[in-house]
Amino acid sequence: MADVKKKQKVSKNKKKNWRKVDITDVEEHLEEKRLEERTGGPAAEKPDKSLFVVDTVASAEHQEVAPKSVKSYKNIKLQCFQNLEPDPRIQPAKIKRNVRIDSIKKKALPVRKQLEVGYLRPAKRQAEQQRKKAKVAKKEKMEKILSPVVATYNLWEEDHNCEELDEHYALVTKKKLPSAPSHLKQRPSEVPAVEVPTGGASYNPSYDEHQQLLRTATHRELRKLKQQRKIERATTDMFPDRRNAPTEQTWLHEMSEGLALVDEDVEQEDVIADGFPNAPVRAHERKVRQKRRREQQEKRLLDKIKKQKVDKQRMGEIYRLRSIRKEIDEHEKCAEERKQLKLEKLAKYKNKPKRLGSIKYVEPDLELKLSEELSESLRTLKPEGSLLEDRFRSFQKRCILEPRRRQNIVKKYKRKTYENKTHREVV
Amino acid sequence: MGKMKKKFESGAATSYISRNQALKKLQLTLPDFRRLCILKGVYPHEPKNKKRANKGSTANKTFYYLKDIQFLSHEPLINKFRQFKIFVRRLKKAVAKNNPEAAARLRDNKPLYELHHLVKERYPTFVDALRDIDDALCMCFLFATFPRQKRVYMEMVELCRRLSVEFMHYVICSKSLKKVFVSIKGIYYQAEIMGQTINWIVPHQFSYNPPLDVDFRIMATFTEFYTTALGFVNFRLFQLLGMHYPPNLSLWTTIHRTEQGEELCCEEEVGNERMAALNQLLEMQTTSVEEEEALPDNFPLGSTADDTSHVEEARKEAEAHKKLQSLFRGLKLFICREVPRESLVFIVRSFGGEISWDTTVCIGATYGEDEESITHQIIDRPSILGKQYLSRYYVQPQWVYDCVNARTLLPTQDYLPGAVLPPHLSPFVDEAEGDYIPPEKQSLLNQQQGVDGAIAMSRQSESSVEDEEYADKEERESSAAESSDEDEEEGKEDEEEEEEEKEGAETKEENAVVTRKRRRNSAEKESVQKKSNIAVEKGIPESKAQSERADFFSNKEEKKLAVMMIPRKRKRLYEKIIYGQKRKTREALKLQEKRKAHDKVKRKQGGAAAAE
Repeated sequence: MADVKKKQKVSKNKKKNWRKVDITDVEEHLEEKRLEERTGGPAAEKPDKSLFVVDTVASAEHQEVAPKSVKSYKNIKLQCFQNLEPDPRIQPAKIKRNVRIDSIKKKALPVRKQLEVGYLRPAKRQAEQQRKKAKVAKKEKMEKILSPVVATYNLWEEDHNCEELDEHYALVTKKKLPSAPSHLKQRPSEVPAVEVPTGGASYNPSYDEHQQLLRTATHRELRKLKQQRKIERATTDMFPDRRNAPTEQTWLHEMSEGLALVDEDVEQEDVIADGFPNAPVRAHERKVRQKRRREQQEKRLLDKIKKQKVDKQRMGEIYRLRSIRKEIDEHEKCAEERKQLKLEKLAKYKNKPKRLGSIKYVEPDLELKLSEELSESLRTLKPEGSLLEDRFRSFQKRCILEPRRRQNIVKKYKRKTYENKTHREVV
Repeated sequence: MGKMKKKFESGAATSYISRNQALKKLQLTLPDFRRLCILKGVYPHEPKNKKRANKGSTANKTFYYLKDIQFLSHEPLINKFRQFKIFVRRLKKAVAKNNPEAAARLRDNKPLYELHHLVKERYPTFVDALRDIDDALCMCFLFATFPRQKRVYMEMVELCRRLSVEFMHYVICSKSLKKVFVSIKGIYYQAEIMGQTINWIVPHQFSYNPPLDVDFRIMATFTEFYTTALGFVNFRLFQLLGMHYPPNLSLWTTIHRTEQGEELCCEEEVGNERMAALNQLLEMQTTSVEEEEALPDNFPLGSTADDTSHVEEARKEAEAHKKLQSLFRGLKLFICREVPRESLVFIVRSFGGEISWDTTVCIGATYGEDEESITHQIIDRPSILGKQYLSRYYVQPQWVYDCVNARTLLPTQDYLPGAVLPPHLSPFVDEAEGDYIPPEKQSLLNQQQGVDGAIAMSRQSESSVEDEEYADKEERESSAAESSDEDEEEGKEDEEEEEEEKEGAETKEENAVVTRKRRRNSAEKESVQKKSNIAVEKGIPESKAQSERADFFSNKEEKKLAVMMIPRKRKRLYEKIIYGQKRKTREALKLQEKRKAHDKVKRKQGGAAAAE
């Protein structure tokens, strides 16, 4: 149907358009007719005899019939084996070769196969590519995690990427961080990171140095004991123990200490302070308006005199400019000295651990070996102290960490207990 | 009149911020905040006036500078922390819901962060990083020794190990090690790298015991930052030295084939172990590296005398250092079991020596015990087991450490196996003028200054008897150490004394055995020494005495004049200083007297014991 051309629609009332009418089919038909007439009329009208011949004579080869031999009999298939023969009605299996892929249901294939075959919609193809990329990225990432190399480039090499950017733009887009406060570059304390102990802490110390170390350790220990003793004296020792605890008797005795006998009470009643706390105002002592005025006048006068005096003094001071200068100088000198003292004090406490939290830094105990513990050789040396703790304390000493006390984990809720009604303990 | 000022709206009250306020401002939890502070290098501060900063209250709080906290708020790491928080939450949920697929997926996409920018920010130049590398080294060397445990990631431990080995390789290659001190806590090292003095401590082997009151999480955070910093520092150091980073062994393939190590563990592990053996050269990046001669120029300076003396001092120091760098050059050492292998290898190789060990001790041995060219064998047992070679000295490990600190090769007589060792003195103690110097150190100093290596060697050969006496004296000192007349000692010391005295007789017997042994050893050594020392003549000390004397007097006169010229204002200060100096010398003299008396007593006791 596709190849049949659509007839051109033309109005046929005009002679001009007659030519446009397609008459090829009509002409073809007519041409056919004419051809038939030329060849002796149409075949349908012709008699059978003029068209067909009956062949009655057999050909030479067909006349020869092969003699029946024993062999031929042998080839005759038995009826009983006919089941084994292939059924002629069943068509042989067609194994398709060179089949176009369009005929297979491509969607049923796994994606990887589809990709191999070349059949994938763009979205899926893109997804597959992305998956591949992700896989590679993941592998790289894992390699990065597993590989122990930290640095692959020189960190301190100049790179100009950031400098090219506009300052404001770089800051806003976080391509550049704001500059650090200047005090961040200063060390919080001048104490060195690694404090090497004195020679007494050697594994095989000299006699003098070892004794020196023992002595300092003893002094420290004694000081600590003394402080502890002081605290005890101020707290525990202040209270009596059970044996010396006050009884009712002693309490009564103590409370009645210094009290006079009952007879003496009468005498004490007489000793009451005479007069009232505020004495009553008499008539002649009342302040009248006139009196008040006069008092005020007097006061004003006094003030005036005082002010005059002060002014005079001030005027007079012009003559003692020198001594004033001296005074000022002295004052300044004092201030300078105080400032110096303060600076000295600051310098003195500069390397001391500072108070950085609720807990004070406590200097850890000195690591030492007693004389009998000293080892003969390096082989038998037993290390003293923990280096991890040493580092931790060092951070605290250098004001990098604040001292802390280890927090115990507190259970938030109390365990609830129930009593099963069927199994009561107490009936 | 202007507006009335309100309290706590300016000054200390606004420049400080308490920790809780900071937490609220940054919307972080306390652990996260602590981590951020450690990574960024923000520390708490004690306000000058607590009451003002704390708005009237005197409670002790942790304060930070407000500006620091504001600076922290810009850190992109905070966002990473938040992402991690969400990650943990989701992971927990997936695990709780028994959803392993989701958990695996989440684990794969675990948010990571890098600290490169922080290293750059905190240490803008490489020298800044070097100045602060002490901490990093200590932490890395410490973490590298940690066993597998719950609170520490194994990756971190491995990384620390690797970084520390790399750093040791650098020190070996650059020969920048200067001092070593074996203390009861660990081994202290000092190196000088690019003009920076770097100290670090390495724990003894197998000395890990978990401390109770150390916040492990905090220490791990420190280590996290320090590993990053040390990684970059290592990179730069290797680069400066013209070496390949990450380091490769120069003789990798050939040895790998011959060894059978790969049967035991995988190839990478063998590589790491071999690297950690510290016994091989590393691959250079460029074939020819120009060695930088850092010697100061020789031109004369026309400036003041003080300046020239400084220059002279510096030159002398540089020369001494150069000499020290090749202290063990030409020596071939062999170490037995039960000796701190890593430390010894590190030291010997840093000073140019060769060292090896038994193949069964550790991977990476280069020659065996039967090598004839071995000069010293380090042994830490009272007697030598197996075959004894006459061609080598047998010494205790302390000899190596003491040689480094003395800056010369010490005579081996005092360090023979089983001998009572001379004390191991700290090289980190610098005595000021007039301080008391113990006689052991004094003898060492004398040796360093006046007597050079050659003379020391001659002394070693010719005066073995003298040395023996000296050693005996030492022994007596150490054995009778407790029986001194120290009246200010504690009670436990007194108990010690009694015990020591009981043991005295036994130790004497042992001493006798030791001395006999030593006599035999020294005889052997003499035979060896006679061959080698044929060409050496006894050094003649220069006679400087007269010129020194003249100098001294002229100096004294000058000094007198200078003192006279001091104005009255400063005079008091000067007198104070002089007074302090005198007091110091007085104390030193006192100590010397004490020591003399102590030595005398011991000698007497020793003599009495010998008579018995």
